[in-house]
Amino acid sequence: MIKSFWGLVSKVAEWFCVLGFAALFIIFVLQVFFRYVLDNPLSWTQEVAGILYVWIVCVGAATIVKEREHVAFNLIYESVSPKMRRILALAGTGLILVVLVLTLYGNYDYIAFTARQKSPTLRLPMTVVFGAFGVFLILLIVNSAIRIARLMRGDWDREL
Amino acid sequence: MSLAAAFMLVLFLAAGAIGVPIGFAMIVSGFAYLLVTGRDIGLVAAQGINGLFSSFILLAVPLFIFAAEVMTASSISTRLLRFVALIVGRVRGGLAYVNIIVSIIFAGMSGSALADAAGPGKLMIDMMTRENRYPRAFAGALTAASATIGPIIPPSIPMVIYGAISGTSIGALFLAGIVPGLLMGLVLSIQTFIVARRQDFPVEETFTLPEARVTSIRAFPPLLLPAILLGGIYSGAVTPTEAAAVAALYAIILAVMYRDMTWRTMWQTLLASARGTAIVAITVVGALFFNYVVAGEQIPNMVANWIASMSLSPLAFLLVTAALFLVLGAIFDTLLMLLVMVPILLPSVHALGIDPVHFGVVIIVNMMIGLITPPYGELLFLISGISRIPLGEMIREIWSFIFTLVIALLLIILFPQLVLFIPQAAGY
Repeated sequence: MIKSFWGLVSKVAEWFCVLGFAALFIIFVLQVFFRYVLDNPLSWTQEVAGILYVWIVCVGAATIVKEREHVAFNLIYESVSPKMRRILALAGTGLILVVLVLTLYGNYDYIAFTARQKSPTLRLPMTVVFGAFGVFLILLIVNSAIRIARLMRGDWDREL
Repeated sequence: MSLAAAFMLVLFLAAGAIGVPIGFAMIVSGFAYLLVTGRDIGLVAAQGINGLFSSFILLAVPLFIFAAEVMTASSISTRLLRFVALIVGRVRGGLAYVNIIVSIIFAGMSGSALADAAGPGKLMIDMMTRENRYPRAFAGALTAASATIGPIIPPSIPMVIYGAISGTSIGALFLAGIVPGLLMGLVLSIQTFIVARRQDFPVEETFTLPEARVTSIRAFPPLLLPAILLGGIYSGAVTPTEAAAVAALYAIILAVMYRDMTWRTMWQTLLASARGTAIVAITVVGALFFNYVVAGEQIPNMVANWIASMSLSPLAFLLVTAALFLVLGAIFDTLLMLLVMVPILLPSVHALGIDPVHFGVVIIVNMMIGLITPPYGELLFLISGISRIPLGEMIREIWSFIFTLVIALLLIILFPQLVLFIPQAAGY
């Protein structure tokens, strides 16, 4: 049940990141084409590319990138026994979960506040940008909670 | 430094030490700092996310990653390899030189050492170890060593990140990498020359004239790309970010023309690019906030005062930094050093009157050597993984290459003009 739920989230995130990345690239090619070939630069391309960039990173970092694929210092983690690794993984994931939950309201507050700011060229509410960070935090909280649940179970060694 | 900042640093180090991803560790310890001091939680997003959103320079990162992924998925590497083998295959140890030269050319199209090792590097090892013509450990170690040239010769992802956090011109950095990259190729070639005679490495067979013609024609379109990129950046016609888009577009056109791209490989390429981008950028987001606190707490200035109190000469400072980065590079990831150490050291660099472009190139060469230094050498892991050469064998062989590359590093430290004369000639 939990597994199929996260499987679905990951699948949606994969589609989002792949299509988003394709759009980011196409928009950038358009920018170069309009500026250098048509000599008529588009005003909106850079901002839309920036928004897509933030969303791909925020959604991707918590979903399509596996825990152990991230940039990390692995020397200690990989030199200890699986039992010790389980403890380290629980401590690290627990830290992420606790701190993020504690800051959830503060972040909500800030992201709601950014609705009053406007983006430089398109005059969109900046929530369009910062909302991605909220999604990142929620995805990371859910991901961490699921990871902890798995580490607590009998087949915890599959989660290391 | 305040108590809260000390708490943040300890929490970051502790979380990092037990294997929490560095980007998450920075974000979490940054939040903890804000909770303890009672400041606005929104500062993480305001610094980190806004930094990513509003930096035109950092947009070059996904585009260069994408270009490298497309090149890896295409037959560009094979075409280059055949062409270079045609030219230098006839000398003793020919394929070893091919390995180095292809790395140099590929470095002019992609900005990542890992992409260089995964693309042409894998093909090179297959060619060199077929019928046991070269010792496999030598082939693997040479591939790792020559892949370090990737981010030195422009384009370069580490230079984009260094430029973004230090405010140094990316164009100047890119041009500054040309001579050091070629120098690294030269010292590796000298080493190959000596080893090839001692171990009696094989010579490649001759080509017929029609074969030579076909191979050259096939390699011509990919060979144009480094020329386009360098010309565009040198003349100032395109920004590095736009150059990244052009590189990716050109690579896609070639890949489609050569029928290397199916919808399925396109999907995989986009997914791998999004993944690579997220890995780099989430660490940058964490670092942007982390460094905002570190700077606010005057830590870089404390370090600068401490270094000033030792009254080091600029040369001594560079040598000490290089030694420090060699040690750190053996243990830590490149991105971590770039994002944490550079902001701390920059005020000292300015105070000592060292050109930040020179400093940037020196530490990036330094960090690339770190990629092949055991115990934590990502290039060694990657190559061992894709070629099935045992890690232990490669580690025994890699030390001589590290020694050789350190000679190149010392040369660019001692002679700043090697680094700076091209950007100066271009008017930076």
